[in-house]
Amino acid sequence: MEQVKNPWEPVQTFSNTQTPRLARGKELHVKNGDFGILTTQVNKIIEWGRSSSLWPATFGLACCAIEMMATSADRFDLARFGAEVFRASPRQADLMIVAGRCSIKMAPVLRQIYDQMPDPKWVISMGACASCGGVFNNYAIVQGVDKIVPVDIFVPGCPPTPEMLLFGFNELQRKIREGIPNPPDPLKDSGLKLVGPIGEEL
Amino acid sequence: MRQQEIENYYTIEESEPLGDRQHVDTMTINMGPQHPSTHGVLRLILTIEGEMVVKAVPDIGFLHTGIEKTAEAKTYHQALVLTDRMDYLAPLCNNLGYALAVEKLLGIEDEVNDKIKYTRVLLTELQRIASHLVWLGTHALDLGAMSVFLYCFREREMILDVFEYVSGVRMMTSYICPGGLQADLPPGLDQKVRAFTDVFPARLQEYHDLLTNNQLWLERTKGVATLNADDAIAYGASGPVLRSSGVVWDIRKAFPYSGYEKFDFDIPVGSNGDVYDRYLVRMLEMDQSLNIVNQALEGLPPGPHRVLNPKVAPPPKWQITGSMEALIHHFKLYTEGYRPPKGEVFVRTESPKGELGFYIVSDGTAKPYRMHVRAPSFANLEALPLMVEGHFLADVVSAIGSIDIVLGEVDR
Amino acid sequence: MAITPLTTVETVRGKFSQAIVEITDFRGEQTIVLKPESLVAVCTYLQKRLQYTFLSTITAVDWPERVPRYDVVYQLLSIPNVSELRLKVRVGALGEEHPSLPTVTSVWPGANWYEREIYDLFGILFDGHPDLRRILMPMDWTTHPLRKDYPLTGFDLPEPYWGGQVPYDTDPGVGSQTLRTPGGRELNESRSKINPEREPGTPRP
Repeated sequence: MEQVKNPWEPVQTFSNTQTPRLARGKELHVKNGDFGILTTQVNKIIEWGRSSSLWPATFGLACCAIEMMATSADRFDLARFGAEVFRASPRQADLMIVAGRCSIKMAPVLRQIYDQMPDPKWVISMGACASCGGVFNNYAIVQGVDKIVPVDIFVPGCPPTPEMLLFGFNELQRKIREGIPNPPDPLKDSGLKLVGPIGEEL
Repeated sequence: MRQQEIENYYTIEESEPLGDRQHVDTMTINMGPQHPSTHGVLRLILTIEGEMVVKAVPDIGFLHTGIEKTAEAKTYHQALVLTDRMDYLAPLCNNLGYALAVEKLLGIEDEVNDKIKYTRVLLTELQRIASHLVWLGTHALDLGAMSVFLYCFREREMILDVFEYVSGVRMMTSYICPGGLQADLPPGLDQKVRAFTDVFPARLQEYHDLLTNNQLWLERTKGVATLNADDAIAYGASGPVLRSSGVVWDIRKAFPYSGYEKFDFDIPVGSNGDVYDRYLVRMLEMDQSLNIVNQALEGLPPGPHRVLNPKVAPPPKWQITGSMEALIHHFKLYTEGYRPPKGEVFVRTESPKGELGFYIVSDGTAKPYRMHVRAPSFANLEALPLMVEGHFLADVVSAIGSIDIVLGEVDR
Repeated sequence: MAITPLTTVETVRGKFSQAIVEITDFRGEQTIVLKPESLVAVCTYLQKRLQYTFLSTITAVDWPERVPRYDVVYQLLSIPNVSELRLKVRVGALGEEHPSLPTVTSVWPGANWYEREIYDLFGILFDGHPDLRRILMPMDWTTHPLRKDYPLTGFDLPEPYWGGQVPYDTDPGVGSQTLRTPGGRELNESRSKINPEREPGTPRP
């Protein structure tokens, strides 16, 4: 009997430059031993549900956090996309918006908060500083948080306007709905141990 | 005073029969750096006994950005963009402080015309209102009033629209630069500003109606986290924190800069130095800022938006397109920069948080040899243990909100 | 007599003529360069007698080719007299790794954090400081980034830096209590002393 495929197996490999899209027009029901129509449709519903009720962790670091607050306020209204529930505890959140520059002192904290979030989880790197260090190419700032956590969406700008964050958010929703997996964890296979404030070895 | 409170607390405890309790237990808890009420990445190590904070130790540096070091590698004009990102609730006030310091270093203070001065005052006072609005929204949110946050951001968006109209950017404008303004004011600015100033008094009254006499608000703020005037001065607290303790001190009145001596405004001063007084001082300051904005808008004279000194300001656009010398001059000014004489200046301005000082040392080259920023939040935060020790744990949130720290400025 | 920067300079010149190295005036700002040993005496006099009760900031400037190497700069402000003054002290002998200087926290308590910041970023020690720890950089950082011989982008560190080291091994803590010990890295110091058999939820022996 053929091995049952893992439904969470990556359907496409991750691309750094371009967010992949699934091929359209694929037949849903083919009798070849794969999952049938019921399973795929249920997955779609689950993914739709996940993408429509993302709960961000309140993780404001610097300037971009103010724009993130403006995004959740009344004019731009992140609640339209089901993400108004900013959770103070990472244990209740599944989206981390890294809003602002991450210093070397903050890096272990950032990683720990990411590790505390339950799977499945996503990361949006908001702003130039979080994405690549921005104007601060110096001793104190991590040159891109994708060195610590896998980043799903990079939003450029200094700071990005709320519209840009909303666009990045919609792109993330599309990634979730199309089943595109998270990028690989930068620290997973590096052999480096990251020790956070509590002392868990990860 | 604070010591007395702690002693009183212990005296009461000791006079009670201990029963089966052998000693009074303290517990050390960690607050932050990821905490919704720390306004960024502040970490506090609190020793509590029951609900009472015995000792509070702030741990900062989680947003240390190396701005002072980076500025040493940039020309004077390039370093301007770094100043935006320190106090990110009031970027234009940082720009103004930096621009004034560099102008003083260059010795071109007298060449700055009234149009530049009035525009700077207009924009920084709008920025002060915007900063106080964010403070009010988040402070009220911390204490449980969600709707104020939404109202405050509604008005803040109107101010950001003005900034976007003027400079093209919502937050980090870098619009005020050494030697004037980055660009001329767009036509129709006064209508944009008036759209805000017309509605804002009624909105401000709305906040007063929501909070000022609200019993819940009074319970959380009255008599909480007091700081007396002597302590405030000794610890270098400034701005609304100092004024709420009863010290009449405003840099705009004491060392008038950028033409503030021509404006008519009052300094709101508190008396008790508690959270409620800090709240009221800021609320009344918004009123005064609105007053200044109106005066600046009425008195805004026409004129060039840059000083006419060719050492600092580039030639106008029509000359660059027509003259090779002007093009070369423009190119050299932006690639090499200008060279102030050897020396050092310290310029203090009144930012929404307090006394913002820029200490710039020049060694005669085109890059600042050393730029140090006297950040108001840094000193105000240093006084936080004085405010919270001997109070309840829940009041720590209220105290942090009331001193209005911005960690980008504390850590720089 | 009204106290202005100029009268302050004259008063200090009269009172502490031995302590003054140099007096400069640039763009109307008065700077008094003092000898390090008389710093606290002059500061106390200014604070007590001339009402310079407000310390705006303390900072340092690094001049690597010069001996003494560092300028430590004090910005004073007198609120009643609306007067400002700058004091400066030059420290750092040739090849001295950590020059030292008396603290002024006894004069202005707010100097505490500024001196910690200078220690952190320049490596200047302050004798008699109550709590001289790093304030901005991680606790295990070994270098002083604002020195001129420190490269802007930092020295080569393992990438990522925090992977190879433990940024949290020193905790500021409170008194004898710390959130964790350097060796054991437990949540609380006293946790290691608990007998697991006596912990709640476990049956008693």
